Amino acid sequence: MSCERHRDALADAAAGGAPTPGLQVHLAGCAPCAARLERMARALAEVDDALGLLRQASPAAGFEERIRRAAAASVHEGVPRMRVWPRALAAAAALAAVALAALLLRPGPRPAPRAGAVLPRPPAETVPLAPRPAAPPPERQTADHRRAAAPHTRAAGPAPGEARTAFVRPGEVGTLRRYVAALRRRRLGPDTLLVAGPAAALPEPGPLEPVTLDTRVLDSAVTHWDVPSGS
Amino acid sequence: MSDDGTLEHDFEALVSQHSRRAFRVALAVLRDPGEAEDVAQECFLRAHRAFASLRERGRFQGWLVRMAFRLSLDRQRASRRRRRHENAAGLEAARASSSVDDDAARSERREKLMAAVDALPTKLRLVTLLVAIEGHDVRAVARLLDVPEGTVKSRLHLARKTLAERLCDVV
Repeated sequence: MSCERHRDALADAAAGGAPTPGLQVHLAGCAPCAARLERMARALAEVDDALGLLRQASPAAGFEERIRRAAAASVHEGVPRMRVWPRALAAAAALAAVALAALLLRPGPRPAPRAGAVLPRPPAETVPLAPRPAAPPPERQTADHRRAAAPHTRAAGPAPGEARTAFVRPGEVGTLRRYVAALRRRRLGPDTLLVAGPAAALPEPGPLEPVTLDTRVLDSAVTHWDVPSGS
Repeated sequence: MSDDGTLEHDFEALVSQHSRRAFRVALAVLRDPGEAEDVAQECFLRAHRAFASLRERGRFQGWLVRMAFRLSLDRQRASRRRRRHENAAGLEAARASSSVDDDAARSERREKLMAAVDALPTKLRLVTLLVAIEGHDVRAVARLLDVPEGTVKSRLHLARKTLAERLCDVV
């Protein structure tokens, strides 16, 4: 037990540290520890001998000349080989970026948005976007109304020619109108925007129904607004 | 003399001055003179590529030592992987037969000692090797590594203590 207590001090002493008084006393009466210290010292001396050979080691004759020739050759080679890799990587990254951009910007349906999101604030103002007499915009809708009126049409998406409505915040009308005009060129988007007034107070929407939306809704900038049927 | 000429001249002077040190650092890790020469040459080639932009020439030797050490470690790891691969392919027998002439006992003992050095943490290992290469000149090692002398001494002590504990049952 006493030997264990001096184990660290023993290694310290073997490594060249001055032995503590406690260790000295212990070593005077403990032959195994004294032997262990001797073995440690011998091992370190052997390591020193082995590593000491490094000081005498020299490269083969002509080594310096070989380095000079290799350095001169690397100058004549032009671009060092190591620098080619970063260029190749940069070119590959640029190609990948162009391919990704082309994929994202190509015309066509966008991925379906997350389903079931409902407008947290009620509409108060109606902004017709297109003159479609067959589909007059609803004056006022709540989440309950929408759920009761057309849950199945929400799931399936409005039929062609049917009026569609999106709800937006007051400050976002212009932006969304331009966006919808752009979407309409691809036959997408709502026909009516219902703008929620700041003072509007309607009941909170009830539990959401899991619905499957097809791709004929607005993209991720708008999908947190519900797009119900206008009928 | 042109700028390029001056650079080349400076570089050649550094090769003369430090090639042996780079070789020894690589040899300390790899323990194979041929491989150590390759590594030292690679260090100088890298230095040559960056030489024109090297602002502090006074730090060149430290840079070179660290580069030699790092490249040697990389090569040592690759060589260990290769050896494992060879063992798996059943080539170990061929290598064993080629080393029959070696003094097996001495070689094995030295391998154990050097394996203990190899197993040291990188910083302790580098200090241990450099102290041996620089003839126990702690100040020179501190200059090479750009650290205080006290740091070199404490790392060296910790390295020797670790070696003593690991090797006391080997000898």
